[in-house]
Amino acid sequence: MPQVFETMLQIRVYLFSFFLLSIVHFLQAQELVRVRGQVIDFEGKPIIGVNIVAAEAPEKGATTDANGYFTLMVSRNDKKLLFSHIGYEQKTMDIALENQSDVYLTNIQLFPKEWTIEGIDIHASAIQDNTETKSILTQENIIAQQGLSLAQMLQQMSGVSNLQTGSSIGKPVIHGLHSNRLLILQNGVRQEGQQWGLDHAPEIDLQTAGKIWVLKGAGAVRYGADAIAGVVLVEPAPIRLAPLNGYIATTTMSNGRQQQVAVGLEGQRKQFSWRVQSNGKYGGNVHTPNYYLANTGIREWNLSSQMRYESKKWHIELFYSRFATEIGIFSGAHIGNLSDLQGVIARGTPFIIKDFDYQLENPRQKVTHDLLKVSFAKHQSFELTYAFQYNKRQEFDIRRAGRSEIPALDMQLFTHSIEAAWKIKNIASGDLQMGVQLQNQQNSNIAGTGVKPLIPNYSTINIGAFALLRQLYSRWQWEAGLRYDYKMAQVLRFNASGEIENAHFLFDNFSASAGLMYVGAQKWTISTHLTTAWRPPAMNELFSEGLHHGVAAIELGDATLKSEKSYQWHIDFQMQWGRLSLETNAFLQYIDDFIFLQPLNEPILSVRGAFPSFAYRATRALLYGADVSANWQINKDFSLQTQMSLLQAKDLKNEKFLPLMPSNRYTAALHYEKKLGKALQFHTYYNATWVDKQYLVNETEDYMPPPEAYWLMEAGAGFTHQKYTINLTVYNLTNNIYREYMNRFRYYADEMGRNYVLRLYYKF
Amino acid sequence: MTTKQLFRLPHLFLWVAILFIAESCSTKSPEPTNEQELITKVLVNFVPVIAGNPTVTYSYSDLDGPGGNAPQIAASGSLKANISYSVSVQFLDESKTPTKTITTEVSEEAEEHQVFFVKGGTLNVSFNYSDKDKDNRPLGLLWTATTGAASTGTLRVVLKHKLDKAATGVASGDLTNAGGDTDVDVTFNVTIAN
Repeated sequence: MPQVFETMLQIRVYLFSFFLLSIVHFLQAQELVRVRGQVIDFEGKPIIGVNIVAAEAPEKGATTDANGYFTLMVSRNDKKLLFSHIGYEQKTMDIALENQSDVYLTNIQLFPKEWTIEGIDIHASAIQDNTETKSILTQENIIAQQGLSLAQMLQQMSGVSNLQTGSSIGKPVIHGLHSNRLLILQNGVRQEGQQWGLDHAPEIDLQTAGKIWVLKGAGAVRYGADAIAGVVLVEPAPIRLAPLNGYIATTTMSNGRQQQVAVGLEGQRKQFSWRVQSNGKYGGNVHTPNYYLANTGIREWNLSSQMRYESKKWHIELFYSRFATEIGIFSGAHIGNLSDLQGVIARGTPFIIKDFDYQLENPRQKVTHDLLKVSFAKHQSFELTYAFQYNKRQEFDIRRAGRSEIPALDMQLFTHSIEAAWKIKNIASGDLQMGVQLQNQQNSNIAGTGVKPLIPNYSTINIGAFALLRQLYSRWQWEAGLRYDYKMAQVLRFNASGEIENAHFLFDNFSASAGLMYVGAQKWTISTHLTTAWRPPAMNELFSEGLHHGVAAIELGDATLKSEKSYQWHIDFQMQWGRLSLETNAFLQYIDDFIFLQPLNEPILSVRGAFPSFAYRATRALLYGADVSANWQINKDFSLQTQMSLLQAKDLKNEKFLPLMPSNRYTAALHYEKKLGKALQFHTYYNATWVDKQYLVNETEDYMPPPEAYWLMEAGAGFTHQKYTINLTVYNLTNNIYREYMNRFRYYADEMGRNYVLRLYYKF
Repeated sequence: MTTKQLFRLPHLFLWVAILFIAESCSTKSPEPTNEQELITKVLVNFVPVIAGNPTVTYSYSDLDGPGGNAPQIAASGSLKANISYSVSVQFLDESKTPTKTITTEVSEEAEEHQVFFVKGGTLNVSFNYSDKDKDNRPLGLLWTATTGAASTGTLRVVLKHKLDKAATGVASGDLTNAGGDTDVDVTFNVTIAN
C-alpha cells in the first residue's frame, strides 16, 4: 500500500527496504505492468525531474514531467519503486502488482533532505557519494570495510583525515580540526570520552553502525556548540522486519595477523523488535615493508543490544552498547627525553625491532565505554532521550619494581544526558525544530597510580537550547538556527603547595547558523551557509603541567584561557550532467581565541634530561580550503571516481602555520561492476591516492621536517550475493615505504606495509 | 503536534530534568598522589682507592620534579689528577619520608637497566664498569675511574630503562645503539686538579 512515511523514519524504512530487496529472489517470468502516478513535495506541489526506477531493474527508469507525472513499465515481479531527486530524500515505495496491468499510485510525497544546508552530509559510501544510490550503499560500505577503525573509514571521504598515534589509534579530523572540536554521536547520543588526548581514539563499536554521516563544519546548533570541526553521526541500521534474522561476518588481515568475528541476531514480533550483536578483534604486531613494529597488537570486544516497541503514534527504544579494547603502544616510540627522540630520528629505524607477536606489553591502553540509552518518541513531533555513559581509561607505562601492572593513568568519566526535541511542521510552509539538552559529567582519577594525574577531578553541568527553522519557497530553501549554551565546571585539584584548590568556571554563549539552498531545474543544487560555534577550553588546556611522555615534551596549561569562537562560511555545489556528477565544497573558517600548543624557546631541564616545552596559548586562526569529488560513469560497467581535499591553516597572530594539519590529498579510483546473475554481482576496483608533502609548517618548531609526498595504491575485488559477500582488499598494494605527517609516530617508524584483507559476510 | 500536547510534554521533560540536576553533580575530592616514579636526587661519589685524598661528590637535586623550580647542581670539590677512584651512583627520591632509594629498584632489575658515563670537553679520565647483571652485562651503579692530567670538562650520567643491552657498543658504555627509555640524564661540570 502506498503510504507516506514521516521524514524521520524515512531513512530507516528505506534501508530496511533495501535489505528486503537484496534478499528476495525473482524466479517468475517477466510480465510488464504499467505504473503511473504523480510525485509531489510536502506542500502538495508537483516535483519535476524525479527519477523513478524499479529497484530490481534500475537500468530502466522514468522521469516526472512538469506536472510531476510519470509512466513506467515494470515487471510483474517488481515489488519496489525508488524515487530520487537531488535535494530530496530518496523514497522507496511498495507496489503490489497482483492481477492489474495498469496501476495508478497516489500520494507520492518527497521530503527535502533533512537539514541539507546546515549540514553538508557525506555518507560513509565515500567516493560513491555522488551517485543517486548513496543511501543504499551506506551499509554495504560499512560491511565492505569491516575491521577498519572509524577514522580509517572516514578518511576516505574528501575533507576528512586521520590523526594517528601509530597503527592502532586514529582520530577523525575534519578540515584539520579534531578531538574536542569534533562531535561524534552514537545512535543520537553525544559520545563522551577523554577526547582531549591526541592518542585517545573514539570509543565506538562500528558494528552498531548501519549508516555513518559526516557534517563538515556544521551541526553545532543542533548537536552541540563545540562542533567547530563538525559532527560524525553513527546510526544503527533499522531492524529487519522478520521473526528472526541474523548474520555472521569475519575479517582476516595478513598484516598484524588480525582476526575479527562479528555475529548479530535480530527479530520482530508484532510491535516489538530486538537486536543483539557482538564482535571481537584479536591482532598482533603489524609490519612496515622492512620490519615489525614491536607491541602494536590490539584486542577488542564489543557488545550491543537494542529493543524497540513501536505503536502507530509513538515508539520506545532501549539501546545498550559496550566497547572494550586493549591496545599496545609501539615500543619504539617510548622515549625518555629530547636526546632519545633525536637519536631515533637520526637512526631512521626504531631501536627496538621485534618479530611477530600477539603479546601486549607496556606501554598499553585499556579502555571501556558503556552507553545506555532510553528514548521515547512521538513520531515526527517529539523525542525524549536519556543516556548514561561510563568511560574508563587505564594507561600502563613501563615502570620499575613490578609497578608495571599498576596503571599510570586511571580515570573514569560518568556522563548523564537528557535531550528533549520537538518538531513542529507546517509553520508558514516550513518546519521548526526545537530542543533542550542537559548534560552532567563527572571525571575522577582513581587513586593509587603513583603518578600525578594529567587531568584533575572535575564535574560539569551543561545546559543548551536550540531552535532551527526551515522554509521552502518552490526551488528555494532557507534555514536559520540559534542555540544557547551555559556550562558550569568545578575543578578540585592539588596546587603546587599540596593544598586542595577548588576552582569554578562558567562559560556561556550563543551559536547561530543560516543557510540558503537553490535546487536547479535539471539536476543541480547550490547552497551556502554561515555558522558560528564556540568551545570552552578543555581541562588539559587549562591545567596541564608536566611531562607528556608520548611526545617528550613539557606541556603547560593556562587557567585564564577563554572560549574559542568559530565563524565559518561554506559554499556547496552539486550537479549531475549526463554520466558525470560533481560535488564541490569550499569553506573559510576564522577562529578567535583558538587554543593550540605554542613552543617555548627555552627547553626545561629535568633529571631525565632536557625537554622542549610548550604552552597552551590562544591565537587567531584562519582555515580555508576546498573539497571536490567527481564521478564519471564511463559505461554500464565502468566508473571513474576522483576526489581532492585542499587545506590551508594559519596562525594569524604569530604569522605562522598551525601545526599538525593534513596536507593536500588527491584520489582516483576505477570501478568495474558486473551482474553475473539475478542475485550475484562481481565488483573490482583500483584506487590510487597521492598525498602531498605538508609544506605549510614552521620548520624550526618540529623535531624533523615533514615526510615526503607519497603514493598509496589499493585494490579490491569481491562477489555480492543476496545471502553473502566475499571480498579481498589489498591495502598499500605496492608495499610502499612512507611516513605520514598526520601520524604522531612519524618520528619513529614507517607506516604499515602491504595488507591483504579478506572479508566474509553471511546473512540468514 | 497540537498546542495542547506542546504544553503537556515540557512538563514531562521538566520533571526528568529536575531529577537529573538533583542527581550527584559534585566533584570527587582528589586523593593525594604518592608519586612512585620520581627521582629527585642523583649522587655520584668518587672515593679514592688510596686513602688520604678527599672524597668528591657530585649531586643533582630537583625536589619538585620537571618544571617548577630549576634543579640544583653541585660538586663538593675537584678530582685529583693521576689517581684511581671507586665510583658509586645513587638515585634517590627525597620527596618521600623516609627517603626512597631508587638505586635498589635499579639493581633489582639490573637486566633492564644500565648507567652510562659520557665525558664531555677535554676531561682526562677513564671509566670502567665494575658491576654486572645476571647476563654478565654491565649495570653501572659501580665504576672505577682513573684520572689523568689536570683538565676540565663535563660528565653526563644517563640511566636507561628497557634498553637493548645486547646492541653493539652498549656493553662498553656507548649510548648510540642503546635505545630504551631515559630515566636520568644529568650533566655535571668536572675539574681535575693537581
